[in-house]
Amino acid sequence: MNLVAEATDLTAHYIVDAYGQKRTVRAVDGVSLAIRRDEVFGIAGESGCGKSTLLKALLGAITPPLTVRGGSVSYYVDRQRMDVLRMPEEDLRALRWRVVSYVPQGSMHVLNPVRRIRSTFRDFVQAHRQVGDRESDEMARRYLDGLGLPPKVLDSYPHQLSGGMRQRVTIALATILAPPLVLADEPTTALDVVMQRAVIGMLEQTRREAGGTLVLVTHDLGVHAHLAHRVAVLYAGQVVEEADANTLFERPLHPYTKHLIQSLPRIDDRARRVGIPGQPPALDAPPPGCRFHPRCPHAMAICRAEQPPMETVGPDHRVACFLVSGGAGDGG
Amino acid sequence: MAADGHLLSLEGLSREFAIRRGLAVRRFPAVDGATLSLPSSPHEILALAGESGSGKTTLARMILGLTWPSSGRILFKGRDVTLLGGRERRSWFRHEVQPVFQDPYATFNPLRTVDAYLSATARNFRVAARSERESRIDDALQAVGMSLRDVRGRYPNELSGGQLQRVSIARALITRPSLLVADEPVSMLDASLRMSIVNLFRGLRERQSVLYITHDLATAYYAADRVAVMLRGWIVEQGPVEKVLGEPRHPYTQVLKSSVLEPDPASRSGGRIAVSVSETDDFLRGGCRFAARCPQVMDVCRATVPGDAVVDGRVVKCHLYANGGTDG
Repeated sequence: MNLVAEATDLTAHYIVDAYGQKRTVRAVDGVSLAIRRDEVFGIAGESGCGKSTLLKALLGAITPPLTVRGGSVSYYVDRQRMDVLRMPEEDLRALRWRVVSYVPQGSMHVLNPVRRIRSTFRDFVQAHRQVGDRESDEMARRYLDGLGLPPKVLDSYPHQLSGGMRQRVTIALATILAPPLVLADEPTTALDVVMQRAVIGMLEQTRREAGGTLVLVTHDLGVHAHLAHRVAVLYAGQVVEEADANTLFERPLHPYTKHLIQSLPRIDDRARRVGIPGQPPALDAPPPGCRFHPRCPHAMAICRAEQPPMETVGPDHRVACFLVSGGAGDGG
Repeated sequence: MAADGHLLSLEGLSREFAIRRGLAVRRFPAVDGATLSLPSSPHEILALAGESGSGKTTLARMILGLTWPSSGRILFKGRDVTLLGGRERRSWFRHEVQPVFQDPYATFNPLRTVDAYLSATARNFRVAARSERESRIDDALQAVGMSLRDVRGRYPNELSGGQLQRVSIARALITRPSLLVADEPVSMLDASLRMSIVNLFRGLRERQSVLYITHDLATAYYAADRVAVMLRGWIVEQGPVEKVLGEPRHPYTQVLKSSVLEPDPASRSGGRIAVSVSETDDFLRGGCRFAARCPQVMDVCRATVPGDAVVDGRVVKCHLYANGGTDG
């Protein structure tokens, strides 16, 4: 399989020392993902399920209190395998923006407020390419023009732009050097519907024109349905189901995925929807067995005792649930 | 009950803010001539929908009496609330109209117990004799599916986001208001908790009317009876939710509806959507404020402000329906 990035049994915990009391928050617990070249890979899940932590680990941005307890993250670039978590910081920095770039959460607020967009583009481009101001400006102008953003954006300060326009500028910054891997954390959250649609159109366009893989982290299943080729659903720090987008939305198998998709309201349909009872567990004391069992309407005895294994149930479809793997007996 | 049969009616309500550009000061109409009403009975959920910067929150703040209108009237049960004296505002209006805030995590003081917060509200509003306060609070909590026993002695960090939002709705119910003004009450909640709160609002309609402010059209369609769509300070389309969101007539509502990301990979579509570069330009331009982005723009749209027309059971502010639009 033609992979661009891979996480193997990745376990990353926050180790917090609060008033002499050690607390371990198991934000990412044994996650394995194989991310392919030129695909949009979605990571879905609610707040506090470890999405952003997983993305940080994929980026190799591990700073205390976040600690990697096990597993590995690899990039496959320039015909080599790179062990991201065991790489010197300088080497990692050389990979950023050339190989992997990042659109942070709340990226509406990451632009320097006292510099024009033009200068920010110069910083980004000149840090990685040997080009002068004029060349860098021309590159930025042509890139923005291709994405349908007016050239006057370059002369503006961030506060003069609307929120959605700022968000699109940050995406343009992350993609202008056409890295093979772009990681985006909630790129459409806090935008209204029209702007969301515009940002999604832009993410799709940059990928179509320059190729590359987009790893898209968002809680919004509507965004995954429109953009992702494959989606992994995270619950309490673990992957519970992974499938191509059509299968995931049409034939989900994990009770959590099913419930999440069924609870979404749709225009033209006022049939009653219900939320999932209970709430996601605190990650410093996750429940034993399957982490979804306290909220699961189908929970069996084995679900309370053992963690369900990840089973492959079809091409590109994996699920971790005893209902699927038939755990009523001895877990076989 | 009001003489005109309305619980709330807004008549040409406007609020301007001044913005400076160099030495020039320009008037910036955040809400411009809003006309809207809620009937006294039956109770209704009215959704106020629109993108960020459309004036939804300014309109809500005027209804709550937190922002003064520049012009126009707000009639509540037939009385002009901008003319109320301080005492009457406190003893009557604030009991009748209560807010529910957006972010349950930011609403509570982390150092105070939740029940202390609720009894302070009951005390400040002098809702009942001291001996009956607890039962009033418990009654409000029961209405949101909780009880005083669930929250007694507990701090906000001991409750989940969904529970906190329930408590914050219960706080608004203590005075037994006739109108709840809820500004994005579910936008901070996770998908698995969101529908239980939206369902709660559907159930609370038995008790009073709700003004539900949101940019999420899917929950507006699900919960509301009527909807008013705002754009750059104007209400551009209002009417029953099945009409306005089901078969929108204003080009802006049509764009809004087609922008909603349905959770269904089969509904993927391309097509570029026009997005304005700067929000203030839209406000200060002459003519229709949607003209720069409208797919059906005509010459007249850039020159003159459109009027309101009744089209197919809803009110639309658009030049497309200027003549002979009254087919419904």
